[in-house]
Amino acid sequence: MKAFLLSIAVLLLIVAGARFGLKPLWETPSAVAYSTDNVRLD
Amino acid sequence: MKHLTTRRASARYLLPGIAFALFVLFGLLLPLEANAQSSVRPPENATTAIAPPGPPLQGGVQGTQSDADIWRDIRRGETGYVPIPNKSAGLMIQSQGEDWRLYRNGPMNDYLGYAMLATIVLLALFFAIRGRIKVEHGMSGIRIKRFSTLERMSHWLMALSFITLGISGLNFTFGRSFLLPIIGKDLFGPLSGFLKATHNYTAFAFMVGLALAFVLWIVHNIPDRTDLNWLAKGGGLIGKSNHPPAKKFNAGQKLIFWGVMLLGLSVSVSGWALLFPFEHHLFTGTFALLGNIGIDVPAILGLAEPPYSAIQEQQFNSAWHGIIAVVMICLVLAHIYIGTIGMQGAYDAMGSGEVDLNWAREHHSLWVEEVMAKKTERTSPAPAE
Repeated sequence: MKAFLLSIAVLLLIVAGARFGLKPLWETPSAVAYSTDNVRLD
Repeated sequence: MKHLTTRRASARYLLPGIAFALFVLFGLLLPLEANAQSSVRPPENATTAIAPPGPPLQGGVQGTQSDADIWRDIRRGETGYVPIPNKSAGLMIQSQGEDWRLYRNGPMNDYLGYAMLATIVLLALFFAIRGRIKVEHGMSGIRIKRFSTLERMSHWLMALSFITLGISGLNFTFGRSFLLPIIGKDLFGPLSGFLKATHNYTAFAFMVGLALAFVLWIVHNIPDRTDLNWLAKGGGLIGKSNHPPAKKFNAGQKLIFWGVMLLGLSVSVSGWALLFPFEHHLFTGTFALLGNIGIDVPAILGLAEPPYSAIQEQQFNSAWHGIIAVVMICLVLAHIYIGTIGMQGAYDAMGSGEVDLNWAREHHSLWVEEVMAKKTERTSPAPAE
């Protein structure tokens, strides 16, 4: 049981860490996504 | 008299008529003169055509012959110029995308569904015929340690993340066909969005669990001669009192281990390429490598010849990821079966980490001897000097 609960804690920790670290990359706010700089013309 | 009057009238209209004819003739000749002037060779540094920036347009400065030509080229995947950072937006129509969509929504989904159903049916049939594999000599009540907390933690980390990935992944593939008609669009939409995010982030937990399990168990999963004997006897699954000797992991468990490791690595790599799209060209590289040893995968599968575009790579990744994931699901279903209802006493190994001595003797006799020998070594007094 201890190992099972520990695995849940580690799982949640990794998921939270991944979300915290990758959110800016994967979930771009619309204000940023459609800013002039982001859709600049070459 | 009358005749004379007519001749005078004719002369009166003749001169204006001739003048009009000369005027018309002059008008007709004038464009020829203008054309003749334009054929004069321009100076070397003269600009003869104004072209827009970027790659040359279809048909050069003259343009294409017709709209049909333009649309035919676009339909065949002609890439145009776009003045935004995302250059892939220059591809309007990617024909292979339609092939991929038809394959994914058609035979691929059908066969993957049949594979999972067939696995469940086969396991149910096996259970109906063989029943639960019991500990023949009964439980001894003596328990020995089989897996440490770290080993069990890595197993459950891998298991829980795989189940989460499996449920969310199956929703991508079958959700619209099976779940949407039941729960409706209002619930299916947000649920699918949540499951997609869950799938993406849980993937990292699976990779960590996979890596941990590999490090912890690779030593015990190297094939040896005892595995051949175990396989020859069918692992003792058929009949009674037919348990072939095995070490910590028998040949069946080793097959599960290597299956999970190799398929897990493959599903992780293809998943990584889907998480960070348009950055990897795994299929172009893999097919080239296989081509070097004489295996022409595109010819065998009837695919286009590499190199593949970034979007094609994503389509291959998507298909491969789904296929490998379902193969893993089938494998894991068999693993779950034998670890729970299929065999008495097996779950304890990952539950409490301790197994009954009689269970261990029947299924992992060589490992029990090894453990007992170590225990005797530790408990026996040191020789007097």
